[in-house]
Amino acid sequence: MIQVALVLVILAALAAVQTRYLRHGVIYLGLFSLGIAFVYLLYNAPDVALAEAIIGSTLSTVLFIVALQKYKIFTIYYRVSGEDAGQDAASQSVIKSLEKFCTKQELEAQIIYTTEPIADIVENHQFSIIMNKQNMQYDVFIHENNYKIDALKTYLSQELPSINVKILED
Amino acid sequence: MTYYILGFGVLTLLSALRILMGPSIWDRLLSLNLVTTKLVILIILFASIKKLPYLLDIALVYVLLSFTGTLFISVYVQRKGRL
Amino acid sequence: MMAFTTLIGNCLILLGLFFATLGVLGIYRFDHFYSRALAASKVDTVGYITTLIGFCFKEGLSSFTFKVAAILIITLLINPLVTHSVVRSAYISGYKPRKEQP
Repeated sequence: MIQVALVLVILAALAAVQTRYLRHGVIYLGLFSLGIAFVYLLYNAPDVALAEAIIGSTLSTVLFIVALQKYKIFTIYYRVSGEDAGQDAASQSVIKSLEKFCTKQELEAQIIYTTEPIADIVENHQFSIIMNKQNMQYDVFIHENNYKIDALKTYLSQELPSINVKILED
Repeated sequence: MTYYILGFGVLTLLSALRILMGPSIWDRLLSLNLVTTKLVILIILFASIKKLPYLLDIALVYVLLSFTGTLFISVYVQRKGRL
Repeated sequence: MMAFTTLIGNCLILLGLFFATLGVLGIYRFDHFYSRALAASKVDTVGYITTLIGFCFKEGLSSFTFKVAAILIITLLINPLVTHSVVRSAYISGYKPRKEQP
């Protein structure tokens, strides 16, 4: 009995570590804490099981969800050059498409218009992606450590094939 | 009695497997609820076998508190990330 | 008399085990999310209630029975709440059956 419960706990922990979606990881952690409370019970430690049932399955789930809620802002720097203020129809449609991407990924888009050069933005600001418009050609710069990089590439290749994605390295 | 433990243990494992492979997040939440109820039944079985009524307090705490996490996650998903 | 209540308790627990098995089977057999929700809520709750009443019969009149009855009442209040919340979340989020979505 106890070996089966331990195997269940280990499976839940492995699934929580290597899942791609953070919300699924929270659910796996709930399963993990339920199972580990049962294992404590089988080891004749009811008080520890009580504490684990309270803390693990309620408090830590709520804390993880609140942390996930904070972790959702997707900052888009839109670099405009000189007289073009980024208000024409083509730029607006590109921005709207990027916002649709953010909604799909359950992120909140925060768009900042700027005129600084790209090197300054990379050096001085927190950014998720930088959009640059040059001669009617849009470029998207994304840092190589960004974890949305594959999703953004597949989305852009389906919706807006004219945009090419460039990867910034350290 | 051993057969009861065996039966409910197998059911718990099957429900947990549905959590690990369920296609959507709501399937996982439903199966988490199933696992909770099965574990409560298992704890009551152990308390009944070992004649230790204070183990029932743990089952009571399980029942009282386990729904909070499920409720939070479902509301979180329903409002698209705004809690 | 004592053996008779124990017999009734064992029968009820076996019935509960049967219903719980049907519920878990429904989780695997149905291919729409909403029918899976039906199997997970109603059928499984029937199994739960039957099993706990079986424990009450089996143990006789003691503090054990009162605690089990308290657990039963709390679960009867909470279980529909959880299922309603999950299914409402799925419906408002626009989850259509037959469409795989992470």
